[in-house]
Amino acid sequence: MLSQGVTYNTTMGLAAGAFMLLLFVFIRVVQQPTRRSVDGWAWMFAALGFFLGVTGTHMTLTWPLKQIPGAGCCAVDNVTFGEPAMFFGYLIFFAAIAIMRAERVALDRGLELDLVSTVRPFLYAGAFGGIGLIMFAVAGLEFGMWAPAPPDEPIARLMGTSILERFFVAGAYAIAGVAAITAAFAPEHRVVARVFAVALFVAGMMWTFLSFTLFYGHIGFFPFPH
Amino acid sequence: MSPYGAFTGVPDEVDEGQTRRWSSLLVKAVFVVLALGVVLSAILWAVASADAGALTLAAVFAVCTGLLVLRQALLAERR
Repeated sequence: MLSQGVTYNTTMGLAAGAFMLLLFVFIRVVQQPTRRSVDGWAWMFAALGFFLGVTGTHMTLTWPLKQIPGAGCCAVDNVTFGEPAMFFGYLIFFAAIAIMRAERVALDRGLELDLVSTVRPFLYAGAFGGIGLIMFAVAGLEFGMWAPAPPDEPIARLMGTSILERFFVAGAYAIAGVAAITAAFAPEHRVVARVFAVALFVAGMMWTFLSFTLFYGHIGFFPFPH
Repeated sequence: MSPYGAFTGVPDEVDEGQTRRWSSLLVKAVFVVLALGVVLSAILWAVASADAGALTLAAVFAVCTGLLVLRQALLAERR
Protein backbone atom coordinates (compact mmCIF):
# COMPACT_ATOMS: atom_id res chain seq x y z
CA MET A 1 0.00 0.00 0.00
CA LEU A 2 1.26 3.45 -0.84
CA SER A 3 1.97 5.64 2.15
CA GLN A 4 2.74 8.75 0.10
CA GLY A 5 0.50 11.76 -0.03
CA VAL A 6 -0.60 13.73 -3.05
CA THR A 7 2.39 14.24 -5.35
CA TYR A 8 0.76 15.90 -8.35
CA ASN A 9 1.98 19.29 -7.17
CA THR A 10 5.07 18.70 -9.38
CA THR A 11 3.58 20.42 -12.41
CA MET A 12 1.66 22.85 -10.20
CA GLY A 13 5.00 24.15 -8.90
CA LEU A 14 6.34 24.31 -12.43
CA ALA A 15 3.27 26.22 -13.64
CA ALA A 16 3.64 28.68 -10.74
CA GLY A 17 7.36 29.21 -11.46
CA ALA A 18 6.81 29.42 -15.21
CA PHE A 19 4.02 31.96 -14.69
CA MET A 20 6.27 34.24 -12.61
CA LEU A 21 9.22 34.03 -15.00
CA LEU A 22 7.05 34.51 -18.10
CA LEU A 23 5.27 37.43 -16.43
CA PHE A 24 8.75 38.94 -15.92
CA VAL A 25 9.32 38.71 -19.71
CA PHE A 26 5.77 39.89 -20.49
CA ILE A 27 6.04 43.10 -18.47
CA ARG A 28 9.06 44.02 -20.59
CA VAL A 29 7.43 42.99 -23.86
CA VAL A 30 4.18 44.85 -23.26
CA GLN A 31 5.98 48.15 -22.61
CA GLN A 32 7.72 48.20 -25.99
CA PRO A 33 6.31 50.90 -28.26
CA THR A 34 6.72 48.70 -31.35
CA ARG A 35 5.35 45.52 -29.83
CA ARG A 36 3.08 43.07 -31.59
CA SER A 37 -0.26 41.81 -30.25
CA VAL A 38 -0.19 40.34 -26.75
CA ASP A 39 -3.02 37.93 -27.53
CA GLY A 40 -0.68 34.91 -27.53
CA TRP A 41 0.72 35.91 -24.15
CA ALA A 42 -2.79 36.24 -22.73
CA TRP A 43 -3.80 32.78 -23.99
CA MET A 44 -0.63 31.30 -22.46
CA PHE A 45 -1.40 32.93 -19.09
CA ALA A 46 -4.99 31.69 -19.37
CA ALA A 47 -3.69 28.13 -19.86
CA LEU A 48 -1.35 28.34 -16.85
CA GLY A 49 -4.06 29.95 -14.72
CA PHE A 50 -6.62 27.33 -15.76
CA PHE A 51 -4.21 24.50 -14.88
CA LEU A 52 -3.42 26.02 -11.47
CA GLY A 53 -7.08 26.81 -10.79
CA VAL A 54 -8.38 23.33 -11.59
CA THR A 55 -5.64 21.35 -9.82
CA GLY A 56 -5.64 23.80 -6.92
CA THR A 57 -9.41 23.41 -6.54
CA HIS A 58 -9.12 19.62 -6.50
CA MET A 59 -6.32 19.75 -3.94
CA THR A 60 -8.15 22.31 -1.79
CA LEU A 61 -11.27 20.17 -1.64
CA THR A 62 -9.33 16.98 -0.82
CA TRP A 63 -9.26 17.15 2.93
CA PRO A 64 -7.21 16.01 4.70
CA LEU A 65 -4.35 14.91 2.44
CA LYS A 66 -2.58 11.73 3.43
CA GLN A 67 0.16 12.34 5.95
CA ILE A 68 3.64 11.05 5.14
CA PRO A 69 5.12 9.20 8.13
CA GLY A 70 8.22 10.93 9.45
CA ALA A 71 7.74 14.12 7.45
CA GLY A 72 6.53 17.53 8.58
CA CYS A 73 4.45 17.98 5.44
CA CYS A 74 1.92 17.03 3.85
CA ALA A 75 -1.49 16.77 5.46
CA VAL A 76 -2.06 20.50 5.14
CA ASP A 77 -0.61 20.84 1.63
CA ASN A 78 -4.17 21.37 0.45
CA VAL A 79 -4.11 24.63 2.42
CA THR A 80 -0.55 25.76 1.75
CA PHE A 81 -0.32 24.54 -1.84
CA GLY A 82 -3.85 23.95 -3.11
CA GLU A 83 -5.41 27.20 -1.92
CA PRO A 84 -2.80 29.62 -3.34
CA ALA A 85 -2.78 27.65 -6.60
CA MET A 86 -6.56 27.92 -6.80
CA PHE A 87 -6.69 31.60 -5.76
CA PHE A 88 -3.90 32.85 -8.02
CA GLY A 89 -4.82 30.40 -10.79
CA TYR A 90 -8.29 31.89 -11.19
CA LEU A 91 -6.96 35.45 -10.90
CA ILE A 92 -4.42 34.70 -13.66
CA PHE A 93 -7.07 33.05 -15.84
CA PHE A 94 -9.53 35.91 -15.62
CA ALA A 95 -6.82 38.59 -15.88
CA ALA A 96 -5.70 36.93 -19.11
CA ILE A 97 -9.25 37.07 -20.48
CA ALA A 98 -9.47 40.73 -19.44
CA ILE A 99 -6.23 41.48 -21.33
CA MET A 100 -7.54 39.75 -24.47
CA ARG A 101 -10.77 41.69 -24.33
CA ALA A 102 -9.09 45.03 -23.51
CA GLU A 103 -6.70 44.67 -26.41
CA ARG A 104 -9.54 43.88 -28.80
CA VAL A 105 -11.54 46.90 -27.60
CA ALA A 106 -8.46 49.15 -27.81
CA LEU A 107 -7.79 47.92 -31.35
CA ASP A 108 -11.40 48.58 -32.40
CA ARG A 109 -11.19 52.12 -31.02
CA GLY A 110 -7.71 52.77 -32.41
CA LEU A 111 -6.23 53.18 -28.93
CA GLU A 112 -3.24 51.72 -27.07
CA LEU A 113 -3.89 48.85 -24.66
CA ASP A 114 -4.00 50.29 -21.12
CA LEU A 115 -2.46 47.34 -19.29
CA VAL A 116 -2.30 49.00 -15.87
CA SER A 117 -6.00 49.84 -15.65
CA THR A 118 -6.91 46.43 -17.10
CA VAL A 119 -4.99 44.29 -14.63
CA ARG A 120 -4.97 46.55 -11.57
CA PRO A 121 -8.17 45.13 -9.99
CA PHE A 122 -6.65 41.64 -10.24
CA LEU A 123 -3.43 42.92 -8.69
CA TYR A 124 -5.34 44.38 -5.74
CA ALA A 125 -6.94 40.97 -5.17
CA GLY A 126 -3.54 39.32 -5.61
CA ALA A 127 -2.06 41.59 -2.92
CA PHE A 128 -4.41 40.01 -0.37
CA GLY A 129 -3.16 36.60 -1.47
CA GLY A 130 0.42 37.85 -1.14
CA ILE A 131 -0.11 38.55 2.55
CA GLY A 132 -1.46 35.02 2.86
CA LEU A 133 1.72 33.64 1.24
CA ILE A 134 3.90 35.49 3.77
CA MET A 135 1.79 34.08 6.60
CA PHE A 136 2.25 30.58 5.14
CA ALA A 137 6.02 31.12 5.25
CA VAL A 138 5.87 32.20 8.90
CA ALA A 139 3.50 29.35 9.86
CA GLY A 140 5.55 26.78 7.95
CA LEU A 141 8.68 27.73 9.90
CA GLU A 142 6.85 27.89 13.23
CA PHE A 143 5.05 24.55 12.89
CA GLY A 144 7.88 22.70 11.13
CA MET A 145 6.04 22.06 7.89
CA TRP A 146 9.13 21.61 5.74
CA ALA A 147 11.36 19.77 8.17
CA PRO A 148 12.33 17.08 8.50
CA ALA A 149 12.12 16.31 4.78
CA PRO A 150 10.15 13.17 3.81
CA PRO A 151 12.69 10.37 4.46
CA ASP A 152 11.72 8.42 1.32
CA GLU A 153 11.77 11.34 -1.10
CA PRO A 154 14.87 11.51 -3.30
CA ILE A 155 16.77 14.85 -3.20
CA ALA A 156 14.64 16.19 -0.31
CA ARG A 157 16.04 13.47 1.97
CA LEU A 158 19.53 14.89 1.32
CA MET A 159 18.50 17.81 3.49
CA GLY A 160 17.47 15.59 6.43
CA THR A 161 16.91 17.86 9.41
CA SER A 162 18.95 20.71 7.91
CA ILE A 163 17.42 24.17 8.09
CA LEU A 164 18.24 24.71 4.39
CA GLU A 165 15.07 23.23 2.93
CA ARG A 166 12.66 24.85 5.36
CA PHE A 167 14.16 28.31 4.76
CA PHE A 168 14.25 27.75 1.00
CA VAL A 169 10.56 26.82 0.84
CA ALA A 170 9.57 29.55 3.31
CA GLY A 171 11.61 32.01 1.23
CA ALA A 172 9.85 30.92 -1.97
CA TYR A 173 6.48 31.65 -0.33
CA ALA A 174 7.56 34.94 1.27
CA ILE A 175 9.27 36.37 -1.82
CA ALA A 176 6.31 35.39 -4.03
CA GLY A 177 4.16 37.16 -1.45
CA VAL A 178 6.28 40.32 -1.71
CA ALA A 179 5.92 40.22 -5.50
CA ALA A 180 2.13 39.83 -5.22
CA ILE A 181 1.83 42.73 -2.77
CA THR A 182 4.12 45.16 -4.61
CA ALA A 183 2.61 44.44 -8.07
CA ALA A 184 -0.48 46.50 -7.30
CA PHE A 185 1.56 49.58 -6.39
CA ALA A 186 4.41 49.26 -8.89
CA PRO A 187 3.11 51.64 -11.60
CA GLU A 188 3.20 54.68 -9.25
CA HIS A 189 6.70 54.26 -7.87
CA ARG A 190 9.89 53.26 -9.65
CA VAL A 191 11.52 51.74 -6.53
CA VAL A 192 8.42 49.62 -5.78
CA ALA A 193 8.40 48.54 -9.43
CA ARG A 194 12.01 47.41 -9.15
CA VAL A 195 11.30 45.54 -5.90
CA PHE A 196 8.38 43.85 -7.66
CA ALA A 197 10.44 42.88 -10.71
CA VAL A 198 13.32 41.48 -8.62
CA ALA A 199 10.97 39.61 -6.24
CA LEU A 200 9.04 38.21 -9.20
CA PHE A 201 12.20 36.91 -10.87
CA VAL A 202 13.72 35.47 -7.67
CA ALA A 203 10.45 33.78 -6.59
CA GLY A 204 9.96 32.43 -10.11
CA MET A 205 13.47 30.97 -10.07
CA MET A 206 12.94 29.40 -6.64
CA TRP A 207 9.64 27.72 -7.58
CA THR A 208 11.04 26.59 -10.92
CA PHE A 209 14.12 25.06 -9.28
CA LEU A 210 11.98 23.40 -6.61
CA SER A 211 9.68 21.89 -9.25
CA PHE A 212 12.66 20.63 -11.29
CA THR A 213 13.85 18.70 -8.21
CA LEU A 214 10.32 17.33 -7.74
CA PHE A 215 10.20 15.94 -11.28
CA TYR A 216 12.92 13.57 -10.09
CA GLY A 217 11.94 13.28 -6.44
CA HIS A 218 8.26 12.52 -6.92
CA ILE A 219 9.03 9.67 -9.34
CA GLY A 220 11.50 8.12 -6.91
CA PHE A 221 9.03 8.67 -4.09
CA PHE A 222 7.06 5.56 -5.02
CA PRO A 223 8.28 2.15 -3.91
CA PHE A 224 9.71 0.58 -7.06
CA PRO A 225 10.62 -3.09 -6.63
CA HIS A 226 14.39 -3.56 -7.08
CA MET B 1 4.53 59.22 -20.89
CA SER B 2 7.11 57.79 -18.49
CA PRO B 3 10.25 56.36 -20.11
CA TYR B 4 10.29 53.70 -17.38
CA GLY B 5 8.41 50.40 -17.47
CA ALA B 6 5.30 50.56 -15.27
CA PHE B 7 6.05 47.21 -13.66
CA THR B 8 9.85 47.06 -13.89
CA GLY B 9 11.04 50.57 -13.07
CA VAL B 10 13.76 50.25 -15.69
CA PRO B 11 13.95 52.27 -18.92
CA ASP B 12 11.88 50.82 -21.78
CA GLU B 13 14.38 51.99 -24.36
CA VAL B 14 17.73 50.28 -24.18
CA ASP B 15 20.73 50.61 -26.46
CA GLU B 16 20.41 48.16 -29.39
CA GLY B 17 24.13 47.37 -29.46
CA GLN B 18 24.24 46.62 -25.76
CA THR B 19 21.13 44.44 -26.02
CA ARG B 20 22.69 42.42 -28.84
CA ARG B 21 25.96 41.97 -26.91
CA TRP B 22 24.22 40.88 -23.71
CA SER B 23 21.79 38.53 -25.44
CA SER B 24 24.66 36.84 -27.25
CA LEU B 25 26.69 36.61 -24.03
CA LEU B 26 23.75 35.09 -22.13
CA VAL B 27 23.29 32.37 -24.75
CA LYS B 28 26.99 31.50 -24.55
CA ALA B 29 26.72 31.40 -20.75
CA VAL B 30 23.80 28.96 -21.04
CA PHE B 31 25.87 26.56 -23.17
CA VAL B 32 28.84 26.80 -20.78
CA VAL B 33 26.66 26.22 -17.68
CA LEU B 34 24.87 23.34 -19.40
CA ALA B 35 28.08 21.59 -20.50
CA LEU B 36 29.91 22.00 -17.18
CA GLY B 37 26.78 21.26 -15.18
CA VAL B 38 25.97 18.00 -16.95
CA VAL B 39 29.57 16.79 -16.47
CA LEU B 40 29.53 17.81 -12.79
CA SER B 41 26.18 16.13 -12.31
CA ALA B 42 27.47 12.88 -13.87
CA ILE B 43 30.56 12.94 -11.64
CA LEU B 44 28.47 13.55 -8.50
CA TRP B 45 26.03 10.84 -9.58
CA ALA B 46 28.89 8.31 -9.75
CA VAL B 47 31.02 9.51 -6.85
CA ALA B 48 28.54 10.80 -4.24
CA SER B 49 24.95 9.70 -4.86
CA ALA B 50 22.20 9.74 -7.46
CA ASP B 51 20.36 12.31 -5.33
CA ALA B 52 23.33 14.70 -5.42
CA GLY B 53 23.67 14.24 -9.19
CA ALA B 54 19.97 14.87 -9.78
CA LEU B 55 20.02 17.92 -7.49
CA THR B 56 22.95 19.35 -9.47
CA LEU B 57 21.17 18.67 -12.75
CA ALA B 58 18.02 20.45 -11.49
CA ALA B 59 20.15 23.44 -10.40
CA VAL B 60 21.85 23.55 -13.81
CA PHE B 61 18.51 23.55 -15.63
CA ALA B 62 17.21 26.26 -13.28
CA VAL B 63 20.26 28.49 -13.90
CA CYS B 64 19.92 28.01 -17.67
CA THR B 65 16.20 28.87 -17.43
CA GLY B 66 17.01 32.03 -15.48
CA LEU B 67 19.64 33.14 -17.99
CA LEU B 68 17.29 32.60 -20.93
CA VAL B 69 14.46 34.44 -19.16
CA LEU B 70 16.80 37.41 -18.66
CA ARG B 71 17.78 37.26 -22.35
CA GLN B 72 14.18 37.20 -23.56
CA ALA B 73 13.25 40.02 -21.17
CA LEU B 74 16.17 42.04 -22.51
CA LEU B 75 15.17 41.43 -26.13
CA ALA B 76 11.48 42.01 -25.27
CA GLU B 77 10.48 40.83 -28.76
CA ARG B 78 11.47 44.13 -30.32
CA ARG B 79 11.08 44.33 -34.06
